[in-house]
Amino acid sequence: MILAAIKLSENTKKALIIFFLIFIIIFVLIGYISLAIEGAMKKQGSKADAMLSNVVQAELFDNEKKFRRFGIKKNARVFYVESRIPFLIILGCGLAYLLYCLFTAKWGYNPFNKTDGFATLFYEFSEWPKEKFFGIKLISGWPSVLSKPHFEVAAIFSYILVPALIVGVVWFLIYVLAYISRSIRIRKIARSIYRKKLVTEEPASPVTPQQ
Amino acid sequence: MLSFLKVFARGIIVTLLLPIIVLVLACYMVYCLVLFVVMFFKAVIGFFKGNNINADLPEDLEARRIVLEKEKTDTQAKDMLSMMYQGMAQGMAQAALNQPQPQVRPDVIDYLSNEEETLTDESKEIPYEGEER
Repeated sequence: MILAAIKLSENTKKALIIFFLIFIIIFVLIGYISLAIEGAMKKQGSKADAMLSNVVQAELFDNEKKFRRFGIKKNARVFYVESRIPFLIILGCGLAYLLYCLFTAKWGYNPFNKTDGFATLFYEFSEWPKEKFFGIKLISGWPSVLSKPHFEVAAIFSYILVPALIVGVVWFLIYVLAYISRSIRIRKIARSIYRKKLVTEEPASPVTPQQ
Repeated sequence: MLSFLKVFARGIIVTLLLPIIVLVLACYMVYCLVLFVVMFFKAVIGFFKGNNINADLPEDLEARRIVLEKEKTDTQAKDMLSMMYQGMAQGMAQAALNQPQPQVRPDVIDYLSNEEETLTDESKEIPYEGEER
């Protein structure tokens, strides 16, 4: 009844359809991204199989605890060897920042700031204009552009530092994900090998009473 | 359509759980940073002790030795089996050669070449050697 009483104009209907389409597309995209990350993690986790294949074949450990301890030890070593380069990049960025602060004597320098930082390469908008309608504050227009992307000589350091830092952190994050997926895989392998199940098959179908 | 809806539902669930996922990931990142520093010091100490961080662990070496031994015994067993089968095959072939071959009696050949009649009648059966008709 209430829905039937609401009359929508053609433009409102179109806007609603577009809004719902965007809503669906965003969530589907997030779903696909999560699927891709899960697939990548599974692939990285399969490295644990190769890492522990000899130990499993040789039946070296007689219990789950010893096996898992060895897996954690091995995983940490693999992580250390893999993540040396991204860690060096992050460390280099930190050292460069410290040296920059030391030479320029700007100890509170924020490399992401809008005046002489990395944010000069992006648009800056004002806040959304709002008006009061019957006591409720509602958005009443588009925000205005405060500054357009521009090159700032004073911000050259941040132009180098910030991308390098992002690359280092993302690279390190990938190896952290690989570490997590290997840990999960090791736990699964340990469970499948050492935890014996009494019931391995599906229970038999119930016997029908004979007449 | 169903798979599309599943992906859509997954997207909603991931969005709802995103704060927790980010929190867990951040915790793991801090843990991994600490782990890296610990491993770095371990590697430095190991370097001065003459150990390489890239080298295999003693458990790995032990496991490899056991696997190699297993493979060796497996190949030995396979060789022995194949030799046994080979010997058996040779013996069987020899036994087959030594068996007496069935020979056709010469009088039958003569009889068949001389007589053109069919051997349906009992009276016309081929007599054995020394047997009278």
